[in-house]
Amino acid sequence: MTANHLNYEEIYDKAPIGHLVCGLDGSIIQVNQTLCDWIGYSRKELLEIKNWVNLLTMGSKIYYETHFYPLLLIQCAAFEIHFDLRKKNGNILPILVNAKLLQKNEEKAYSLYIFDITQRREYEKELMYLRKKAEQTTKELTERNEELKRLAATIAHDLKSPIASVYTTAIYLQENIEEISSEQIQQFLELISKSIKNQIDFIDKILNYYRDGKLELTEKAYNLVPLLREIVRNVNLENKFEIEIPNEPILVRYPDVFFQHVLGNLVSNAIKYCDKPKVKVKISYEKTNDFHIFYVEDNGKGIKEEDKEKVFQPFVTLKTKDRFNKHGHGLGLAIVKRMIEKVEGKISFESQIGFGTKFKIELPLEEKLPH
Amino acid sequence: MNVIEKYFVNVLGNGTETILFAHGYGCNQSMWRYVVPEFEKTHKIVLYDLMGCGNSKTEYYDYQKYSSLNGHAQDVLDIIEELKLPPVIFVGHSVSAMIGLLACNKKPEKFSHLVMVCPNPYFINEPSSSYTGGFSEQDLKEISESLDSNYLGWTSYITPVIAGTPDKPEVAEELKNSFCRNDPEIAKHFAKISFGSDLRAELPHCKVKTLVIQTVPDALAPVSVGEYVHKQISNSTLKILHTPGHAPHLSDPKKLIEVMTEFLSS
Repeated sequence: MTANHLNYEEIYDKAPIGHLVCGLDGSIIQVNQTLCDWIGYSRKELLEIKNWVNLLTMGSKIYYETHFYPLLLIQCAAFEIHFDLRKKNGNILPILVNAKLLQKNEEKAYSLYIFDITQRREYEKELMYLRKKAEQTTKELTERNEELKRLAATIAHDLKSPIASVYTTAIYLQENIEEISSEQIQQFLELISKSIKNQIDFIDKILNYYRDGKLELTEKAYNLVPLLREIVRNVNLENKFEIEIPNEPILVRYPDVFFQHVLGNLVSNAIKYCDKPKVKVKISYEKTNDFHIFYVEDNGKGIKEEDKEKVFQPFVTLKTKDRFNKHGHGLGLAIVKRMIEKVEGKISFESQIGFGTKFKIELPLEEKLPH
Repeated sequence: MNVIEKYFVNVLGNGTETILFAHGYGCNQSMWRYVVPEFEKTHKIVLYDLMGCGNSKTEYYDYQKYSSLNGHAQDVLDIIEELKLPPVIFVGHSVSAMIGLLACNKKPEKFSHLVMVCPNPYFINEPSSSYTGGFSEQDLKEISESLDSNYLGWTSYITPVIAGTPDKPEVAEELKNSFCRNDPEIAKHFAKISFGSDLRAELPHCKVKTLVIQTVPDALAPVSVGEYVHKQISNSTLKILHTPGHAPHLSDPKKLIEVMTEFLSS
């Protein structure tokens, strides 16, 4: 083919790029065939639509008015602006536009070069998705990192002082062993072993939290009520507290350790942090089509609005001390929450300052558990 | 930090009266380029970039503060305060018309006139009160999506061919680099506030002498909106400009200057 063969009108009309000439108000003056084909309107129909802005989706219209049009008027050109066009069949055609102002004497119009970027758009969406995911991961890792920092601080602090006192006691014994009565030695050793036992329990808790144990269901359903009674007895040895549990049998297949941990923790928290002379705790149960639902209700001081987020975070202890004037390790509820979420259950609570808190635990029925 | 740096404030011209120009959504102070030279001869001109836009110090964009237009209205008052301006003529385009309104309602004594260019106090149609803001709820959702997809549009470098000031090339350079570029995250947040706020209840409280400028056609505000704003502000004049688009200061600056001058001298 030589230059003589070229028909510029045809080249324009069939160019692999859409083209529009519009008046300053957006009215369509000329359009090439390619653009007509892309959006499914005939040239005649497009000229009837009159204004190309009418083809833009609402979001694009705003972008056009607030960004594209000002750009065009100020710098007489705009590049790589993305719009969405509504095709005749209602589908969206994502486009990229380069535009230039045309001027002849006083007459002004603008010329739009339109690229179909359907595939690039998909790619962009993919990138956006990955970017969001990366942001999410970063956020999670940051939280995790914070958690680990708190863990390190807690361990260092909580283990160091008792170990230091064990050490001092041991040194004292060593140096003064001749002068101390065997009775006293016995007392010192008891102190040492008690302190070490506490630390072992604490370490166990940490290990529990980070261990990814698998939940083994029992083969047959069993009645949970006797176990509840035992859990309650363990925290209420002197029978000082008023703890109510359901009478009707509750049939479950979750292992007993699961309930010992989850319910045991909630009940002992309810007791520990109660500020009333008469501690009252109530465990109740209901079964829905999908869930075992347990409630643990107390008459304690309630959880402050600003603390609600923190309650389940590991190694975060609220400023309140328990009735034995001790701070917790901030692991109990975190472990409980983890255990429950591992079976895709939920734990939530409602609380009223001064009146108490009601925890709700939803456990998927055994046959609906994720495998 | 002083307001000059914070909001990239530019003070031009001479005159006893001051005009404070505030640009609309999606751009910066250079939107006023065709209007400013005319008023510069007779007035002191103060231009600034809305926090989060243009050359403002975006590190001060506090998502909490700017979760309502009141945050921006406070900025206007801060600028007036710190520059010790006498009662100003406030000219606000689009969302800034509403920001100006809020500022006027807070401290009317700081304003002599309010010029609202293409205001829209509420973009969403409300059939129950037969209010026509021009958009449906669905439309508004699309805006947010559209801003998401225009991520590249906001950030990609746009080389503008703008006339610089020959004696201050460095200023021109700075404008060139920043023209209409906005942080995409802030742009998205600001869009939600700009197009999602309902400020209709503020209109009747306006005590400042007001000019309402409505263009026809304006894809972002049907004529009924201009009429509504005019009706709600008792001390107001409505001017309808038959120039297409949402930015008469760019599309027909001559006409805009004319109606403003007429209003200010009346």
